[in-house]
Amino acid sequence: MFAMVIIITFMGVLATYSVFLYSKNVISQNEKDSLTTIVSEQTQQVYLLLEQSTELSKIISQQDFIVNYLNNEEKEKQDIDVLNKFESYNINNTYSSIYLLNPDGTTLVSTDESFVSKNYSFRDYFKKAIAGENYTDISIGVTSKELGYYFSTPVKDDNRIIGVLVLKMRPDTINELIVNPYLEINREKIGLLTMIDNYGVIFHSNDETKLFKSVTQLDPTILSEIKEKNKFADYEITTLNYDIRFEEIDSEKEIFSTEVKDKSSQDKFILNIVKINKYPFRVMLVESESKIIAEAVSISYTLGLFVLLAVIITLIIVNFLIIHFTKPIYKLSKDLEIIESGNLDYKVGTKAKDEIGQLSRTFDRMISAVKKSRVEIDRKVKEQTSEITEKQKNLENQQIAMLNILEDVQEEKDLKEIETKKIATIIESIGDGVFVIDNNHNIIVFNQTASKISGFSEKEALGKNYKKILKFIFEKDGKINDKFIKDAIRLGSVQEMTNHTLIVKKDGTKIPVADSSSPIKDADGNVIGCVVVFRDVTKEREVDQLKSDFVSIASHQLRTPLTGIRWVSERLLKNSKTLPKKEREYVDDINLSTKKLSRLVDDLLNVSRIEGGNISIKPQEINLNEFINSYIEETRPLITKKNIDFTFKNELKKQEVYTDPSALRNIIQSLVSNAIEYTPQNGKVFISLEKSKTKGNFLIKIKDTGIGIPPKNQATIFEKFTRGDNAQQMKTDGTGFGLFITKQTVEMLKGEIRFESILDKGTTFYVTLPIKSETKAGEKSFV
Amino acid sequence: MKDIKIVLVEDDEILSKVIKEELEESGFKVYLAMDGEKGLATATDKKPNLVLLDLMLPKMHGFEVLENLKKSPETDKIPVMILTMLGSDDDIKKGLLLGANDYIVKSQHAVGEIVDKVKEFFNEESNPVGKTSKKETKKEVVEEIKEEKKVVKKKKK
Repeated sequence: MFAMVIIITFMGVLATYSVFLYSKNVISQNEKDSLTTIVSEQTQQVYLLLEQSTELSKIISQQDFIVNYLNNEEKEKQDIDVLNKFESYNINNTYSSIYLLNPDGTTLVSTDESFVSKNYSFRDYFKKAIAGENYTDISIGVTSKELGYYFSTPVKDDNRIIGVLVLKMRPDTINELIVNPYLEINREKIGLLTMIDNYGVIFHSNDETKLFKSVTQLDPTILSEIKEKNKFADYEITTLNYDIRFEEIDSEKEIFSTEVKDKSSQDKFILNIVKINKYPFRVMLVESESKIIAEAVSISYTLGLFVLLAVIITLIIVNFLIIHFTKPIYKLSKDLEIIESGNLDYKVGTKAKDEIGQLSRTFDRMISAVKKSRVEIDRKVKEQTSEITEKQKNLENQQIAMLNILEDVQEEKDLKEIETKKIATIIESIGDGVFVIDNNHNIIVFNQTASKISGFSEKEALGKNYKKILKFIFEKDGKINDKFIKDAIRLGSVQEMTNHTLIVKKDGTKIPVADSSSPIKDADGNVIGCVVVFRDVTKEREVDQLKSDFVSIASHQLRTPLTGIRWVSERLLKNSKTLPKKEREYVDDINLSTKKLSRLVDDLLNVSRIEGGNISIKPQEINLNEFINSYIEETRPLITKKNIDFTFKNELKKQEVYTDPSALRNIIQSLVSNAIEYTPQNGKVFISLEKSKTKGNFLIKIKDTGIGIPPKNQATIFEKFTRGDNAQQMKTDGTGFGLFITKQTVEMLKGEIRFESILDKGTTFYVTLPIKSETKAGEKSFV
Repeated sequence: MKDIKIVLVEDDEILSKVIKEELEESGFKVYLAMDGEKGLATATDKKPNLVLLDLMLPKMHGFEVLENLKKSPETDKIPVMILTMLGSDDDIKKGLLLGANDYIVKSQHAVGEIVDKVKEFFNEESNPVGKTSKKETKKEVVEEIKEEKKVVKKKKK
């Protein structure tokens, strides 16, 4: 606040001073300019007058009478004529005289008698004119003793200067111009207004004291020059004592101003000098600087004072404002500080009606509003806090619930993990190799046993295509045998590995394996993978081999005593004449039993071979006709014994078939002997060979009129240990294996067997066999 | 007939007894050996007209006996008939390849049939007999194998 006062004061003072200075300058300059203008104007007037005079002089000089006069030697008579002429011009108001000079400078004629016969050749106006120049001079007349202007013009007669005409003018006219009414008014300001000659001598002045003083200090040579010219009679030319030299004022400039100082008084003056064109005169105005300035100053002072006053008033107002506004604001801010510190009950407001008062009352309202809102906020906060506390409680409860759930989930997970581990353990510990592949045939599970059998580690196997790890090949030809895997995926059902499958281990050795593949399906029943279980069957094979070897050896061993019994019985019978009937019967019985036993052993051997899967099929070219006929002959005794009506019909065009003879023999023998044995005395048996309905096959039909197969036995008649319930009555030594073996044999040849039977009417067997059988590898053949 | 010497190599007591008796009743002179070693020795010693050779023999298997017989120039010309309990093709083939002339499946035939076969054999030697249909298939097999033998022999050379 205080600072502002200072600033304002300072600025105010500055303003005042500036105004003062400025106005002073302006005014004084203005003054000077106006004076200069005035002087110029006046000079112009003077000039005009001078011109006028010069012109007049010129005109007069050119008058014929003058020329004539001057040319005429006899001058006396004509003097008066010329004079009269001069006088007739009637210029006495302005001009004091007109006179004519002869080339010597002597006045021949003059309106002023005093001039006549006087010589003025010393005058400049004569000198100049006689040289051919119009000239205007100013001097104090020698004769008249008055100041006058002399306008001289050479009188020419065809370029010969024969005289000089002079026109003398009173100084009053010009005087009047110089000092005119206008200037009278401004006399105070004007100062010194003069006319000066070419030496700078004042010959006109509004101040008479200054007459015939020189503006500048003149050289003594010049002073003597002036004296010689007798311009100013006896007047002593003193100087005005300005500190200026003549060269400086002798300027070619039309108007020129310069500052000078009075050497004695040290006062400052301004010289305005105006040249009068062509004329050796100048108009000079001398102004007192101090006077001008003084005037300006006085004006400026006034102005300045006004400004200062304004400033002061402003200051007062400002101060008033400050006091009125800032103090309360200051107080207000202090009050607000109190409130800020927390005291909301403090009242700021005043009763003042002005803006400050309003503001402070507004503040109060605001504060109370703030207070209210604070209370409100407090309340809300309390509310929120209690809400939050509640929510937190809820969250905590939720958290507990979550934890419980998580525990349960974790439990489940753990259980699942345990389950998974269990399953994994089970899989690992399964004695068989287990691997699981996905739809892309990549291994995703690979148990320990699989690793052992294949020679690949779990790491090596996981993620790879199973074909790279587990190479299942056919034992026979080494070709890939993984159809069972492909079929499981493709058909979506369990597939068994074919027999004689080998697996190629990592090190290249081959191991016989067996088992199956099973598709894995998702909830929608889509196949997403396959589980394959396989085991090393080398031992099994060995066991099988041992078994069949055993069976072989056993049956061989069994046969020996059986054959022994038979042969001895035979011999007994041979010598039957010596044997009593009863004993003979016994021997027969022994024979029968032996035969039965024999057959049983044979059947068992066949069955074991069949079941071992080891029987070979070695097809040969066989002539069916011959084959069957040969068999028939073998059975002839039995046919005759039972008096069977036996027919053999061959409808085939081609007799040659390519099949295994022992297998075929087995089939024929089994069915034909059955037909004969189960047909009572005098029955019929009928064999026919026919074309099969299916291409590539032929049909053997064996029909009898026997006891037939009871319906309840028909379903199981091809199974082991089964005989028809009625079989016993016809054949006592049936083993229950016959049809089983026959069916197996037929199927081994890739044929089909079926029958039709009616109890007590007869049975017909249909056997379809391929005309061309395939070779099957095996170690054994049919017994 | 009485000049015909047969060496019977059979390890079963009863069977050998019965065959021997039957053969002797038919007039053949029979020497019995109960094991392979003895059989070989007897055959080498007696130089019979026929050797009836069982396969399952102690001390030396029938095939080995057969091989030895065929190896030795003393005995290689003696005809041999294999007596087998099982009609296994492999055994038969092997036997015939080794040089046996024929085979008999004991379990399928009555002893009398065996005797008949022997008789036939000797009759055939002197007069070729017409083939019976029963033995045709077997005969075919025999012929086949004889062919194979020749081929094998040629190959060996």
